[in-house]
Parts: sequence; C-alpha cells; structure tokens
Amino acid sequence: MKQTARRIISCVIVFVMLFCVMTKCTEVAENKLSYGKTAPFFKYSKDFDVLFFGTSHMKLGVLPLELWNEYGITSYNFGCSSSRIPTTYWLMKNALDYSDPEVVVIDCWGLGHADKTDSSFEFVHEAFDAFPLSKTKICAAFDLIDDPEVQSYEADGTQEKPTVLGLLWDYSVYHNRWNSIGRSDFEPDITNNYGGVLRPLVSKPMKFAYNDGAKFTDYEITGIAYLEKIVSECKEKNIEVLLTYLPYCITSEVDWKEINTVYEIAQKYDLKYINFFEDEIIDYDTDLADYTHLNPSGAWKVTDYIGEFLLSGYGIEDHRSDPHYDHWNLDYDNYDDSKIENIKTAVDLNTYLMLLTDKNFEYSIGAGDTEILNDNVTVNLLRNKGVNIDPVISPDDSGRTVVEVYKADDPYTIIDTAIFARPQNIHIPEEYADRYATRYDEHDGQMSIVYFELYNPDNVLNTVTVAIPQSIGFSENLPNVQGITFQNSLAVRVLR
Amino acid sequence: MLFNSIEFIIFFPIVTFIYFIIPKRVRYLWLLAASYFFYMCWNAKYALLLLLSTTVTYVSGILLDIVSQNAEKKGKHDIIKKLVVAGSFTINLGILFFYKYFDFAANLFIAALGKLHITANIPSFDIVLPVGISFFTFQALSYTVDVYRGEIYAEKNFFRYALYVSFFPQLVAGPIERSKNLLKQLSLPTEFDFERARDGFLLMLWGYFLKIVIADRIAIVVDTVFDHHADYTGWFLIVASVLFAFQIYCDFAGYSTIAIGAAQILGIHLMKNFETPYLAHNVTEFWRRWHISLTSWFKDYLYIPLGGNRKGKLRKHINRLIVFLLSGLWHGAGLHFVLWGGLNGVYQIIGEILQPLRSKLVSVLRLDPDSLGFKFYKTIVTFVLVDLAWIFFRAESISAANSIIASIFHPDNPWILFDGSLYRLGIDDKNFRFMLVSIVILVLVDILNRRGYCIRELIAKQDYIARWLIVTFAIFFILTFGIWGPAYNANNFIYFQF
Repeated sequence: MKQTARRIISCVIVFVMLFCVMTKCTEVAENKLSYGKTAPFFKYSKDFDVLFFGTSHMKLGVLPLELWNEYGITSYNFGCSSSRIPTTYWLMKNALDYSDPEVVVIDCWGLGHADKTDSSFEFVHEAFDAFPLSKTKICAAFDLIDDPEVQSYEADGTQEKPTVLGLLWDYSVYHNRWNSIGRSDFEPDITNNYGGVLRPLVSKPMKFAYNDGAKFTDYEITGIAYLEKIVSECKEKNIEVLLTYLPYCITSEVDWKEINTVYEIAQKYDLKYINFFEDEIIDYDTDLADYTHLNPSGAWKVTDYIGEFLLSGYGIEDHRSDPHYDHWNLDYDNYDDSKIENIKTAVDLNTYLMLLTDKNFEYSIGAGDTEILNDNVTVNLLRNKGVNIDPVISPDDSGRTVVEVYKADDPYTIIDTAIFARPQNIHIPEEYADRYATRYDEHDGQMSIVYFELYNPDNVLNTVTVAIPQSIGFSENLPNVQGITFQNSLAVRVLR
Repeated sequence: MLFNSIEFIIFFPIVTFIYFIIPKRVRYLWLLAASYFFYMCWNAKYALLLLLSTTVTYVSGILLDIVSQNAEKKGKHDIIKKLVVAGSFTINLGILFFYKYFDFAANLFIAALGKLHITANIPSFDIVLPVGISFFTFQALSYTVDVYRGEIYAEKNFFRYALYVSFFPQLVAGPIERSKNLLKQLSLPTEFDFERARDGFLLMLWGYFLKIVIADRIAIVVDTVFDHHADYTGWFLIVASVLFAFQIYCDFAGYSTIAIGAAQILGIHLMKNFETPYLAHNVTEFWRRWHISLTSWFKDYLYIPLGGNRKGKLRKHINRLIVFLLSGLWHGAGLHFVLWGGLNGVYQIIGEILQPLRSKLVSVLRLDPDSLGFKFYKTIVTFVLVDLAWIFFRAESISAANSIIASIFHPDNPWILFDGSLYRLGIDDKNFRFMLVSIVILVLVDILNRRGYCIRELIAKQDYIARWLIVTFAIFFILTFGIWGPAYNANNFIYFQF
C-alpha cells in the first residue's frame, strides 16, 4: 500500500515537473506579437471606457493615446489583422471578461464574409494568444474552428492548419520555433500604444469601385449574424455599441454592400454609425499608407473625429485630471518620443511632411527646388497643413529643400532638421555639368551616390548619401492591386 | 487513429485505466471493443473486412479441430483439413488481392496483352486500401496453419479470437503476432505491474522519439530530394538515400516500439520486430533483424512448406528468392516493390554462393575477421547493399529508381556537401544538424543494445530523482523537437499503406 502511494506520488510529481517545464517553454517559444499588443490591457483592464475592435483598418486607424491627450478618453485598440466578425466577436467576449467599458466600437469590414477566420491562422493567434485559458477562450476556439471553410485550410509550410489544439495549447504550434529563439523571446518588446499602430508611409490611391447602393439582405451570412451577436451581448451587459466603417481605397463592390448594409443594422438596433466614406474626413492622396490602411495622418484625423463623437454622443468622461490615470501621461510621453523617432527616420519628403500633419508639431520649410510642387501629394500635404506655398519656394543653386521641425507649443526647440533633394539635382561644378557619371553604393538602408568625371572614376565631383525611399512589398500578395506603385515623393532625404 | 495524434494520447490511458479496474474475465471484451473502435476511426466500413477475415479463420480453426477429433478416417481427414486451410487462404488472400492488388494485376494484364497487340478494357475500381489489411490477414492466416499443424488448439471463444486478430497496438502495422504467443496471453490477463508498465512507457517514449523526432524530420528532406530527383542529382541522392535508410527504420521501428510498449503496459508481451538491423554483417543477418515478425512468418508459412533448405542448394536458393519476391509484393502493389524484394533475395543468394571464395580471400590476405575494422567494413558494405535496394522501395517506379541509381554512381557535385545546399532541402541548418545528431544517438543506442546493454534497465536502476528528471526531459524533448502539431501536415507511418 505504501509502495502504491509512493508510486502514485511519483507519477504526480513527474506530471507537475512536466507542467512547469512546459509552461516555461511555452512562454519562451511563443510568438510575442499578441503579448506585445495586449500587455497594457491586462495591466489596467478595469480602466478602459472604450474598446475598439476590428481589422487592421482599426489597428492602424485609431490611436488611443491621442484620444487620451486630446480628450482624456481611456481606450484600448483591439484591432487585429484580417479579423473576421466572428473572430472579433470572440475577441470582444474575451476582453469583456476582464474589462467593463462603456462603449464598444466595432469596425464592420468583413460583414459580408462567410468564413469565421482568415486563412492565415497566425492572425487568430495574434488576437488570442495573450488571453489565458478560460471557458470563453475554449468556447471561442471550438466555435471558430467549427466552420467548413476554416477546416479546409491546410498546413502548407507558410501557415498552420486551424485547430482547437493549436489555439488553446499554442506550444503545439510554436514548439518548432526552437531554432529561431532570440532575445525578444526572453525580453519581449511591449509596445505601449494601447493597441494602436503607426505605419509611416504615403501611397498613391487606387481607383475607387462604384457604389450602386446594393445591400446584403440575407442576415444569415456569418458576418452579419455575428455582428448581431455582438450587439446583443453588449446590450445584455449594458454596453453601448458604436458601428464604424473606417476609410480606405475601396476596390471591390462587395465592400460597398457591407457599408450600405450597416445602415440597416444600425437602424434595426438603434445604434450610431460613423460611415467615414460619407463625411469626407480624410484626403485619399495623403492619408493612406497603402491602398487599404491609413497612415498616421489619416489615423489622427479619424481618431480626432471619433474622439469628438464619443464625447458628445456618449458622454465619455475626461480623466485627465484624475491622478489614478497619471500613468497615461507617461505612456503618452513615450508615444510622443516614438513619433519624434519616426520623424527623424523618415526618408523622403512626403512621408516627412505627412508625419508633420500632427497638430503637435509645426515646421518651417525652405524649398530650393520647384519640381517638388509637381507632386500633388506634396502640394496637398503643404496645403492641408495650412502652409502658404508661395513664400516657401525660393529656388536656389542647391536644389535642396530644408525643413525645420519644432513643437507646436515650443517653437524655440528644434526637434529635427531635414534636407531633401531629388537625387539628380545635386550640385556639380560647371565644367563637368555635361560630362559626369554616377555610381551607387547601397548599404544599411542608405545609398551613396557618387558623381565622378566621365571616364575618370577617381575624380569625384560630389558625394551624396541619401536614405533609400521605402516601399513595402504589400502589393504582390493581393490579386486585385497589381500595378500599384508606392510613390512616396520625388525628393529623398539627404544625410551627407 | 495514428499513434502520433491527440486522439490516441487520450484513448490509450482511458482504455488502460478501465482495463485494469474491470474484472479479469471481461477484460478481453473491453480490449476487443477498444480495438474495433481504434480500427473504425480509420474507416468504419472496413471493420467488416476485419470481421470477415476473423470469422473465416475462426471457423477454419473450429472445423480443423472437429476433423482432428474424428481420428479414425485419417486419410480422408487429411484431405478435408487441407481443403479447410486452402479455403481459408483463398478467401483471405482473395480479399487482400482484391483490395490491394487488383489494379496492379489489371494493369500488368493490360500491358501483357498490349505486347500481343490486344487492347483490353478492364474497369478500374477506385478502391481504398483498408489500413493494415496485409498485417491482420497474415496474422489470421498464421492461426489457421498453426491449428492445422496441431501446434495450438482452436480457440472456441469467438470474441477472444476476434481480439487476437484485431488487438489494437499491433493491428495496423505489426508486429505480426503468432497465435501461440498472443492468443495464450489474451486468455490469461495479468495484474497491473508498475515496473513493467514503466518499462513499457519508456519503450513508447523511445518509439515516439524514433518516429516523430527522427523519422518525420528526415522525411522532409528525403521527400524534397526523391520527389524531385531530376533536379537533385548526384550527391543529393546519395545523402537522401542514406537518410531514407534511417527514415524507414525509425518510422517502422518507432511504430513497432510504441506498439510493444503499449501492449506491455497492458501486460501483453509482443515479439520483438527489430534488432539493431543496420549493425548486421551481411544481408542474411540483416533480414533476421529487420521486420522480424514478417520474415519469420514467411519462413514458417512459405519457405518451410516449399521445402526450405532440405531439398538441395539450388532449391534452397529458389525458395529464398520466391520468399523475397513475395515479401516485396507484400509491401506494395508495384513492380518496384517486387524488384526490391528480389534484389534482397539475390544479395543473400550471391552472398552464400561467394562465401567460400570470400573466406579464402580473407585467409590468403591474412585478415582478421574478428577485428573491429573488418566487422566495421562488413557492416558498411551490408548497409550500402541494403540502401541501394531501398531506392527501389522509395522511388515511384523502376525507371525512376534506375535513373536515381545511375545518378548516384556518377556523382558530379561533391561541393553541395560543403556549400550549404543541404540546408535548403526543406529544413534549415539547425534542424539538419539536429537530425544528424539524433541519428548518431540512435546508432549509439543500437550499438549499446547489440552489446547487451539496455538503456531502460539502466534508467530503472537510477534513483528516483534521476528517473523523474529523465522522464520529464524525455517528454519535453519529444514535444519540443518532434515534428508534430497543426503546423505540419500529418505524416503517416510509412508502413500504413500495407
């Protein structure tokens, strides 16, 4: 008997040891994206008055720290890449287990979709990994996998097969990260932007699809059915629901159908609905990072609008004078630092000017090159900021454009100075004006352009180091956006 | 359900737990239910085939027993007994033929007619191969013959017999058991023995290590190369062929080890199926150490009835060749499988024929056959011969195998071993090196086993803290480094299509 007891205890101890080892390993091996995004949420979960949900449109479109700074609203942005409405529903339910907001804002992209999750299941991990195992999470896993389309996605080397096991015990997916464990797995980067993300790029808009006013009439469609579930869940918990459709370049009529249908749903449940396409809030020439996401300029405009709406429409409290929320100011300062960092590292004129549409910054600009006014994005950016173009342009030999940035409330401290020029407009001594050649040297995100005498490479006439204009390879993955070019600007930042 | 699946991890402990708490006299019924459930998870309809095979051989056993008891009319009885055995074989092999070999035979027939310029249209059936059919059919047939030979009494209890045929640990991929061993044990269930169960658990862990850490990792590389062998030539094929030898060993031995370990936890002792095969010094010895249950089945039920080695040397060689050709055919419905089997048979025949010559050479050259170097040389030669044969097993056709072997004998790209090309075959450099290390561990353990050291016994002798740490580490190791989980496509055990 004693021996049996000892043996049972033996087995139990091995189980416990295994459990501890596996827990620690899971912590290390997990992809930290989800934790980075949600760590502040769990830390201050009871403090949030507003929760934002939606896809990456929402993630890049609403900045909680700006809402704090302008209006004193405490909010969290749960926007998650490619999140279908059912995924959003379950994410919301999990969040509501920890938090008690007054308003929940739902961006309705994906309303007309039948699938419950995106085929890239990593985005579902991004949403749920940080949430501890709970009844809600288990129900979420079973419900989301219970979908014929989701079950049809196979593991093919770039994505995993969606399974309940993978979502609830993510070590089953992450254990093979053993060969790429790095520092960030032990010291994860926690971003304290409360879920909001800035994507500092400026891109050309696509051609808009036509809106013929069509709507979805079948409310059995998965997206619509789950939106109704979201509404009824919130009603039960006495939480207000605000529906939105954040702006981007619409290339498919289906999206218009969704936008139009939200009116019906809003009416049915007596909810407010912000259709950003109706009120011309953003400038499509300057406010997009790519055809489907807002850049910081667009995000600030959208955030501002929503902030006003929340204050006036729902009476959200301004907590700025409450010492309990002091840490928000610290977080805002960090966020402010990251904005300045973005400015300092912007590599082309348009991105730079776009980042300066932030009402907290002002700048003075001396443009020595009239060509930049041929770029209507540059012109719009200047005009939108209220910069009077005529005094700005004073063409000179240098062909360079100089921008000086300072804080709106402190014009005497220069935050950054940047020089921009078109690479072909660099000064060459007169006698070599028609007999020079260039060679390029690229490394570390910088490009050195060396101007030398034709046929005499040792005679260097001028060297310019510029930051390489950025482009993201986003377009290749999307079938209906071939031919998109990300034209940032004619002028790139000159470093030396 | 696969052994490497969440379903089995839940299924097995539950089955075991209930097995040991219900009364002994009904335990076999519980195992029978569990076994059929296990099989029906693959495909419920094919359980009927299992049942059919079971029923036919059960009835054959009963009939043989009845006939034996009426001992007076001996002559007539012999004929009846032979008829019963023939009937049992015909029906069972007929089922096997239909489900496994029909399309193959039909295609051969069409090709043969084609050579005579006759076109024939034979309908091809979209037949799904019932999992494990080659295994349980052979296991059931061995019972018929054993009863016929008087080596065992017929089992009167139908359900107990059905369990013998369907016992889930070894149902779908062996070891192919004998009635003398398994049927007897099923009649005498034992008490739960903690030490035996712990040993069985360690066996299962070793089996999982072989299968999901080694075999499934190698499979990625081998598949990349062999499935595109026109692009990966020369040294790529050499590397992949060597790796494949380990893949199939770890895959199959891993499965057998899990089966033996699982059965051991239940108190049932199954026969060893692999005994450090790649350490054999010649091909004949290899086949005494590889898939032992199948080789011995063929020896007892085909080789010996054909006369074995009692009818002269030539007949012995012919018998052996027949056995290996059929063994090849057993492994798969394809000419390249038959060729693989035949090649292994030819190796052994030539080896025996040349044996006196080789001994003479060794003594003339004054070499020491017991030296480590010489044994090592023999091991390597055996491995190379066996590995060349494996190419026929793995390649999709004889012509593919031929071109692969041709490329192997003209390897014109040795640099690929040094320039990192090996790290681009589906797994990265860390995984590749890890794979090599794990193969080395396997070889070391095999060498220790051959010298009589049993790692499990060594572990059992350590004190309790060391044992806890070892088991915890082993499980963590398999979970972390194993090729499993939603991120991978399920990789069936290679032997399942048999």
